[in-house]
Amino acid sequence: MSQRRIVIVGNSAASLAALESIRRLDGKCPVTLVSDEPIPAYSRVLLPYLLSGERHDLSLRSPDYYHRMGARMLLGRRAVRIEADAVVLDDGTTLPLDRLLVATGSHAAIPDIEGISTPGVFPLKNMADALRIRGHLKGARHAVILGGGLICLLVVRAFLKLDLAVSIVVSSDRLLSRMLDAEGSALVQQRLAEAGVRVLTHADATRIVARNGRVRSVMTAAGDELPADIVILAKGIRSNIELARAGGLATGRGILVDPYMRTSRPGVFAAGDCAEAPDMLVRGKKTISATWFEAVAQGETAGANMLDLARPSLGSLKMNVMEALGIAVAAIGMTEAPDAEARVLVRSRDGVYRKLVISHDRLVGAVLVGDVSEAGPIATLIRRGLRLSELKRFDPSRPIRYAELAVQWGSSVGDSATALVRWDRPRPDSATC
Amino acid sequence: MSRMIVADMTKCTNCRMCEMACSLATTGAFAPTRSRIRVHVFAEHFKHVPVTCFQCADAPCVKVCPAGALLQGEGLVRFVKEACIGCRMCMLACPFGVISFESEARVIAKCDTCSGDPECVRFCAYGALEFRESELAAAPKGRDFARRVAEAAKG
Repeated sequence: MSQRRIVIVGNSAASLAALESIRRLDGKCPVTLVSDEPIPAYSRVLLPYLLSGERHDLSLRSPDYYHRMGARMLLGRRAVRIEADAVVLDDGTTLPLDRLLVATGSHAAIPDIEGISTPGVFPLKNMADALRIRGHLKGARHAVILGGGLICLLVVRAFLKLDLAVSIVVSSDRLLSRMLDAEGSALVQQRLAEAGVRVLTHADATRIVARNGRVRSVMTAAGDELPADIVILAKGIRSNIELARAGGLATGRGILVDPYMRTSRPGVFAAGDCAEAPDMLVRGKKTISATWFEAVAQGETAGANMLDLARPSLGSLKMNVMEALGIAVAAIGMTEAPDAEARVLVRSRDGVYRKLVISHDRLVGAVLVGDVSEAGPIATLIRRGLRLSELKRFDPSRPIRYAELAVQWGSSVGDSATALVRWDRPRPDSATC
Repeated sequence: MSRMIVADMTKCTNCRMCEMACSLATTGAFAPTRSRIRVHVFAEHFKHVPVTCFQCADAPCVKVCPAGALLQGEGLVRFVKEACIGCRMCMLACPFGVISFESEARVIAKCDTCSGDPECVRFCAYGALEFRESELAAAPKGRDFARRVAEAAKG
């Protein structure tokens, strides 16, 4: 077959993983990356470290990366239209293509609150946001963060480094409610309280009060007035699906994809925060993972399938890990029992919390707080979906270690054990392109 | 072809000298819990399996590191301590659980083969650890490892 022309819209985790996956398999096919940001790939995970001044260079790859990868890079251009065998950019350029990857990412959810556009109120999603926040931090003493997720906790860490007094307003009953169970979350919340952070749960911001054209405080529904020189919006993300919609791709909250990361339109793939992909643990469910892990995994899968290698993903596995003011936190798969049949194992001692969720003889979820050293083997066991009763003398109350799992795999799964080191994407050793 | 640390679990006696040697070389103290090679024990099989970083050729930890702290080298997964933010994404990505965390420095730690002269190998008195050329250095590590563990457990 003649060489496929590939265009990737996006320039972060999913896009780079796709590009690298493509290059491992095909060194020559022409690849063009299009990014609406004017700078080479950088790490969004590091943005809070830019705020605190701990990091200045957020580059994800070396300066000669695109050249080495043999990829043309179009920076500061927005893809506006998907046509048959082409994508059109905002400056009128038409890029002819055989395969398109839409990896347009996500944007911060902007709550509908009075005064939301007051200067001093910012999301933290990209470099431009981070630079604006940094410019606004001089002289700031009080910060309010709306939302209690992962971004919130990373921002808390940065702001404490800058000696700001921080308050968090969370509508749910706890911090990290989408990641952790109640017990795990309580340990994090306790740590924040010790650090002097004020956390308001079951609370909603109703108004942002301005003075002299700058934010001054945040009012809550309960009538609290929280002083604020700066407000960070961290109430989750929304997939960027405008381009996909305009191109007629099927969308839900994200761009709907199958296990091959194919969209409803032939030749067009999607990966990362913008994609709504099959869930690994719940059959028939599609989910927007919005994690760095899943973006990398989906990008890699998309890259291989754009070269027609037919490598399906086993589905998105919700998992994440972070350090919340010195406490390591990991959550993998289901954090609560999915039904009455499921078994939950909990151990909690001296600030170390471990919970395993077992359903129908398989490990389906885990929460680890304070010690995440088992996280990798646990994620591997969940992904492989091995029957626990078939693992010789498997004792879930002991730390789960790869070597013990390998005893079982080595004797039963033979060649497919290869997949253990390849995420969840089984691949024949001989695969070339 | 590059060299890698290869463990022969039929020879390992669980003396844990490798853990001592590694921790002394890398942390300056006899602190086996901070060793980058750990001996896993299968009491039911009377087998012991030294496990350390496989230096994967296509490493999951490198792929997910959001800080540019883990880099794919030739026969080595390089770790740049200064770039690490301690987020532990690599620990969640590594199926083998061979990346540990340094609680003082707030960064991860992993085997760097002592720059090509691993202390654990030097101090293994039973020849259970070797640092040698291996065609596996560039191959997927899980299959071979799983097979060898399974065989050792059987025999």
